Amino acid sequence: MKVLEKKGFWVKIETDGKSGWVKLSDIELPNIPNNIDPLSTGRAASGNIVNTAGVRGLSPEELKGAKPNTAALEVAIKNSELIKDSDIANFINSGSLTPKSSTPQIKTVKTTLMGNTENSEASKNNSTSNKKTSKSTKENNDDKDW
Amino acid sequence: MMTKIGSFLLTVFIFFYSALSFADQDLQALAEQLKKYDDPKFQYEIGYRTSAKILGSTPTITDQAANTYINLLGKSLAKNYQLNTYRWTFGILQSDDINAFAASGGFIFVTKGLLKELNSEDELAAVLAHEIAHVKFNHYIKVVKKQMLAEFTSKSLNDKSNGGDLEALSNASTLLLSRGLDKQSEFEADREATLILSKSGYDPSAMADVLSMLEKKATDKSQAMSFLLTTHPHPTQRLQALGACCAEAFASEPNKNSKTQARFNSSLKTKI
Repeated sequence: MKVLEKKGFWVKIETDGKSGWVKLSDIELPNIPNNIDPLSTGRAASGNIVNTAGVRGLSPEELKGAKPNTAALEVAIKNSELIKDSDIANFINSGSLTPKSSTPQIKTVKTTLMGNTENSEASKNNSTSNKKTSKSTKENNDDKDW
Repeated sequence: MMTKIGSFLLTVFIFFYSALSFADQDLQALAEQLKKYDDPKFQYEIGYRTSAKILGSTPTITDQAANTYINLLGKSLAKNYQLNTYRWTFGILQSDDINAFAASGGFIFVTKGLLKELNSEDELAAVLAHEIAHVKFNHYIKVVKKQMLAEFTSKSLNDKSNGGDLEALSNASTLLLSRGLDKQSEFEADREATLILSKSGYDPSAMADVLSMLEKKATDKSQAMSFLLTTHPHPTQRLQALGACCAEAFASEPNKNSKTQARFNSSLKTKI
C-alpha cells in the first residue's frame, strides 16, 4: 500500500494499481517513525546548533540559558488586555462562526510507544485493518477519484 | 541488666518516634507545596516567569494588526470552550523555527516560521487550540508535581528551594519546554484541539491538516522542525493517534468558511 496524499482525516492510497480515499481510522499508516534523530533534521547534536544563513532558529539551549525579558512580556500582556469582550463577540460574528452546543462522541485511545493504538475497540480494528481497507476501497469504487 | 535493656528500648523508641515525626512533617510540607500548584495565581506566576524566559530567547513581533488578530482568535476559542477565566496572552515569536509554546496560566506563543506554513484561520485555530489544551489540562504543572513526588523519596523536603521558590519552578518549567512533555499529553492536546475546533465552528479536520503539514516538513528534513521533533512525537504518530480517536466522528463533517480567509490573509499572512 502506498500513501499518495492526506487531507484532513482522509488518506489517498494506492494498492494493486488502484487508488482511492480511506479514513485515517481504517488503515495503519506505513513506516511510522518512532525515534527522533536530530542528526537527520540538520541540527548536529545537543549544544551544537547548525545555523544556515537567514535562519533564526530557536534551540533548547537558547531557551534554558535565556535571560528573562519581562519588559517584552508586559508589552505582550498589554496587547492582549486591549481586547474587549465586545471585540471577541464581533470577531466570532464577522467570521460566521457559530459555536456548537455539543460535539460528537470520540473514542479514547491509548497509544503505545511503538505508535500503535490499543484498546478493545482499536485492537479489534487492528486485527481487521486489511479487511477494513479492502472494504473501504470497495465502498469507494464508484468514487470519481478511482 | 534489666535497666540497661529498658534504657536501650527507650532509646530505640525515641529514635523511631522522632523519625516518624519528621517524616510526618515532611509529608505535610509536601502536601502544602503540592496544593499550591492548584492555585490559579501560583500557576500564572510560574507561567509568567517561564514566558519571560521564552521572550528572553526570542523577541515577539511588533505588528499591531497581527498581534490583535492572534489574540482575538485565541480568546474567541477560549470563550467558546468556556475557558475565559484565564488571563490569556497570545504572541508571535520572531523565529523561523516551526514551533509553538504554552506556559501555565494562559501564555501561548507561536513562531513566525510556523505561521508561514499555515493556510487558513482554521489551521491557526488548530495550533492555538492544541496549546490551549496544554494549559487547560495543566500538563506542565502535572509534570513538575510528579517530579516533586519523585524527589521526595530521595531528597529532604526541608530544602525549601525544592518546590517553594518561584524562580526554581520557572526554571523547571522552561526545562520542560525544552525537553517536551510525554507523548500521551501531546495526543491528548491534539484530540482536545479537534473538539475545540468543532465546538467553535471551525473545520475539525484542521488539526489533522496541520499534522500532515508537519509530517511533510519532517520528511523533507526541514531544519526548522528540529526543536519540535525533539519535544513531540513524530507527526505521523500523532496523525495515526488522532485518526484513531476522531476520524469516525469528524471525517465527513463539512466545514469550509470563506469569511475567515480574507482576515487571515490581511491581518496575518501579509504581516509576517
